[in-house]
Amino acid sequence: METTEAGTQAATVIDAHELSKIYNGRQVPVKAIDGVHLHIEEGEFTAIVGPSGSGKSTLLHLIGGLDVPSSGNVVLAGTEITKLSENKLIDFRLHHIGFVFQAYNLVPVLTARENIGFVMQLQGIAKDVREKRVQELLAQVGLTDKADCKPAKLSGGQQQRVAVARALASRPRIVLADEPTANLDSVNAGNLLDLMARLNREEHITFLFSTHDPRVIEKARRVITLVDGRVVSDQHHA
Amino acid sequence: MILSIAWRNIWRNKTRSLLVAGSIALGLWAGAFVMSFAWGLYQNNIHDVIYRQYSHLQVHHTSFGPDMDPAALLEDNPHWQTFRMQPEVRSATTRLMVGGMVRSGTGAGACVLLGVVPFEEAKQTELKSMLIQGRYFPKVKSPQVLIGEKLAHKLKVKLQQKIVVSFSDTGGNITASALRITGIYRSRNTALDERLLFTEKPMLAAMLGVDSNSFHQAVVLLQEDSNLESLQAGLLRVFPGTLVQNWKQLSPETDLIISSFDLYMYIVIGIILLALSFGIVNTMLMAVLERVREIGVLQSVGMNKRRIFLMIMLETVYLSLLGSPVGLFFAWLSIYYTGIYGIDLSKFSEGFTQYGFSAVVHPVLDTSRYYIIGLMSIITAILASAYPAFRALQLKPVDAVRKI
Ligand SMILES: Nc1ncnc2c1ncn2[C@@H]1O[C@H](COP(=O)(O)OP(=O)(O)OP(=O)(O)O)[C@@H](O)[C@H]1O
Ligand SMILES: [Mg+2]
Repeated sequence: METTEAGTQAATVIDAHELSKIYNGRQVPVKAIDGVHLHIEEGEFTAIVGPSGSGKSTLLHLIGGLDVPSSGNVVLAGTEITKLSENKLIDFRLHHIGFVFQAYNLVPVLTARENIGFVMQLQGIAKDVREKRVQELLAQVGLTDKADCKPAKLSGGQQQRVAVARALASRPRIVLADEPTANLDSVNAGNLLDLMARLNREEHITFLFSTHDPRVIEKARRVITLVDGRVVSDQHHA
Repeated sequence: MILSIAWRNIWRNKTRSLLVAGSIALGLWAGAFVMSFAWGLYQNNIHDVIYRQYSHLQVHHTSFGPDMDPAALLEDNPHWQTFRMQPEVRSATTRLMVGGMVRSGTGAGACVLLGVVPFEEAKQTELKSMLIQGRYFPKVKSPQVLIGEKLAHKLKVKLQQKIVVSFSDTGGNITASALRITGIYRSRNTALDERLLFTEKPMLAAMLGVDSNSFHQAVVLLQEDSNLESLQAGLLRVFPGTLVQNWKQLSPETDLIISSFDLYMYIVIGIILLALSFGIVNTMLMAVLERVREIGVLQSVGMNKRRIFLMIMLETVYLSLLGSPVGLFFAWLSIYYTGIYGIDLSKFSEGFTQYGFSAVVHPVLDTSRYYIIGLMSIITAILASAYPAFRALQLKPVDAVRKI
C-alpha cells in the first residue's frame, strides 16, 4: 500500500511550468499547448476537458514524457522529466506513470492476467509478489473470471478495466488516461469512471484524464478546461 | 516473458510465418543437399585417386624421379614382408616401371610400362574389374600386355595383336620387346588409359636385366585414411633413405580441392541464406509496421529499447528455429536415401568419365556440417532481424499512440 500524506500536507505530483508545444504543421506552425502552468497534488482526481483539437492529448503526452515540449518543463514526483534522456524516461515511465489510452491498450497475445503482470515483470518484481498483486487488481476491476482471456475475447469496457488495472500494477505516482471512455457506451463509461473514482478514494491514486463526456466530467473533483492550448478555467468541485 | 510474447507474436499471422519458416527450410534443404552432392562427387574423385591411381602410400628410390631412372631400384626385405602383413594394411604390392615408346603398325606414342604381380595388383587397383576385353593375365608363354581402350584406338590394335615397347634398360641401352595384347581395360581416367601398359613383373625384370625381387615402386593401401601419417613414417623405417609419399603429396590438386571444399560450400550456403534474409527482413518489417501502435503502447508503459529490439530479434530467430530443423531433417533424409542408392550421372553427361570422375555419386554430409548450417541460419536470422528491429526502435511512442 502506498503511503500518502493525504490529510496532512499533500505532496505535489505534477508541476508544469510555462509548457508549450508547437507542431510544425503543413502550412503554419500549430501551437497545440501554449504556456500552460499545471500543479497537481497527490490524490487528486482531475479531468481535462475542451473541444477537439484543444490540446488535451498533447498535454497528457507531455506530462507523461511521451512527447517533448517546445519550451517549459515538467517536474513529476520531484524529477524534472523534460531533462531525462530517452532511456531514463522509459525507465521513469515504467516506475512512476501509468497510462490508459482510448483503445488498443493491451498486448493482444497476452491474457488479461499477463497484461497486468507484464509491467511488474519489466520492473523485476518477484513472481509471488506479482501474482498476488495481479489477483488483487483483477478483483478490484471485477475481472477475476476473465483473467485468462486474451483482449480479443473481452468487451471494450472489460479491456479498459484491464488497462486501468495494468496502469496501477506498477504502483505509479500518477495514472494518465487519454479519453479512456471514448470508445465505451454510457453504461460502461460510467462504470469505468466509478472504478477509477473508487481506486482514487480507496488507494489514493492520482488520476489525470481527458474527456469529452459531460457525465464523466461530473465525476471529476477538479476540471481543467483547455481552449486552443491554453487553460481557460480550473475549477475544484466538492 | 519477452520470450513468450515473441513466440506468440509469430503465430498472429500463421500463413506468413509458416511461409518464411518454410522458405528457410527449403533453402537449407537445397543448400545441404548440394553440399552433400558435391562432397559425394569429391569422394568419388578421392576414391579413384587412391584406389585406381596412387594407393595410400608409395615408395620410390630417391633418384627414381619423374624421369623414372630404371636403375633406381629397391630391394625386397624382411621388414617389408612384416609391414605388409599388419592389420592396418589392406593390401600392398611392388612394381617395376619404365617409361618408353609404344608402337604398332599404324601408330606410336609415349607410355609407361608397369611390371606387376597380377594377383596382388588385382587387389590393389581394381585393374581386373576395369577389363572390357580379353582376360586378366591368362597363363601364356609369350610376353603379354594389358592396354587401355584409348591406346588401342590410337594404335588401331585389337586383342591378340602385338605391339612393340621400347625403353632403355638399367645400363642405358635401348631395348625393344614385342608384347601380345591379352586384355583391354577402360578406367574412368582416359588420360591414363592412353599411357599405362601392364605386363607381368618377372617378364619386365628379365627385359630390364634386373633381379625379379627388385622393384621401382612399392604401393600400400590402408584400411583407413586416418592413420596415413603414422604408417607413412613406419614405411620409411622399412625402406630407410627412400622417398615415401602419401596420396595427398602425390595428388596435391585433390588435397587442394578437399581443403577448399568447405570454403566453396559455405559460400553457396551463404548465398542461399542471403537470399532468404531478404525475405526475412521484408516479413519482419511488415510485422513491425503492422504493430506500430502496439509497440508504442509497450514503450509507453516502460518497455525499453533493448527489450523491444530483443523481442523483434527473437521472433526472427524463432522463425529460423522452426524452419532450420525441418530443412535439415529433409536434407538428412534425402542425403541418407540417395547416399545409399546413389545418383547415376551417366544419363546426364558423358563428360564425367573423361575427367576421372565416377558416374555414380553417393551424396554424403558430416554431422558437424549440419550443425554449422543450422548455426549459420540462426546467425542469418539475427542479422536479418537487425533492420526491422532497428525500425521498431525508431518509432516514437507518441506518434504510435496517436494512430488509432
Ligand atoms: N503530430 C502532429 N503534427 C501536427 N499537428 C498536431 C500533431 N498532433 C496534434 N496536432 C495538433 O495539435 C492540436 C492539439 O491536438 P490534440 O490531439 O492534443 O487535441 P485534443 O484536445 O486531444 O483533441 P481530441 O479531443 O480530438 O482528441 C490540434 O490542432 C492538432 O491538429
Ligand atoms: Mg485527444
